[in-house]
Amino acid sequence: MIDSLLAPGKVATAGMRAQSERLLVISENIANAQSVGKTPGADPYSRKTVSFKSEVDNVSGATMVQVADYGTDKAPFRLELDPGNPAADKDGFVKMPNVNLMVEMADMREANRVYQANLQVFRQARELVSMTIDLMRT
Amino acid sequence: MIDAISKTSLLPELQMQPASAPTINKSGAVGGFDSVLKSVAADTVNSLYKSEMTAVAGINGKATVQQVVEQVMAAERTLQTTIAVRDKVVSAYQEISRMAI
Amino acid sequence: MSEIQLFGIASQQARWLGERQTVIASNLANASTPGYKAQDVVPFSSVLNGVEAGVRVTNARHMNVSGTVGQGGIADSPTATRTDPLGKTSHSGNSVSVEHELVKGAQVAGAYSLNTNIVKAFHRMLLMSVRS
Repeated sequence: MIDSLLAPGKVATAGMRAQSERLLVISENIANAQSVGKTPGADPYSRKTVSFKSEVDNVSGATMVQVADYGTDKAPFRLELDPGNPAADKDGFVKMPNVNLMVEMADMREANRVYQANLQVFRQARELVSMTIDLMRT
Repeated sequence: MIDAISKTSLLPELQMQPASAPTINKSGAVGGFDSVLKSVAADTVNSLYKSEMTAVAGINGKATVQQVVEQVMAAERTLQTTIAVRDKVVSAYQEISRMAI
Repeated sequence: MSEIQLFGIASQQARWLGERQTVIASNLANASTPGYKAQDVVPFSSVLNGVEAGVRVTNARHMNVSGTVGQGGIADSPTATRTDPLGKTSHSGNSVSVEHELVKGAQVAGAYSLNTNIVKAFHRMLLMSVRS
């Protein structure tokens, strides 16, 4: 049965969890922005991505969200001239991770924004339940 | 939704009752007040039972918060009305019994 | 309109507001889901007029069984939803506007507060009038 007062809290929780996953992936990308391979010509860190899908919850009947898939960005690695690097190939070029810090920072801000919005819904849902139970008080 | 409305329809029922002239039935009690008290008591018991069931269902997660609250408040209204009616009926009966014949 | 009808209507509105809040939550949870279109419930006036008598579902799983509370079964049908026509679509196909949803959420909270306070007041008045 749908409890329309408790359902928003559940949905908001799923939303917060989804954005947290996203933030985790973003922070991993940022941490590994300079991680190159160990042997000459080896591939460096590949940017990770996460995608979401909407999912209808059987118990409450509300539309929630969950992680659909983790993936890797297939964008090409950029080359940097660094002959002294152990990962340098025969021409002295090192393959650098396909992580763009600007993109990651913007993504992080967006994820934060959506997380905060979901948190607001969660707080409000709690407030509505409190108002309802308050009715019974003399 | 209909339930919420019918639960509080107690008051109109009471307003309609006093119009009928009281009759003396077999037990000697006054018919009009007797039936009023009976129906009011029955409604109250019903309402209280329903609110208890809803509260239990609420604890089990089977009823919504809103339903529980509404049921409890409706039971409170019915109970208050019953108590008020009972008090009036009892005091009226006492007055009648005090009357010198 | 007598005060007795008030409790019934307030109950309907409270339920409608709760469902609107749920839809708003769903929209915000799916704010970064590609292809997701923002939803909203039908206006309360059409619920009151009984226009939404039949249950129009957007997803088969929205249809739920009638809940049994105590002795009487209280059939529980969700308010119909429809795609929010005001939503602007991003290039990923997502049409959720975070600000718009939060504004709607604030409206719901305000309306709900009014609803509960009205019910509380009328409940109290009714009890007082019976006590004499």
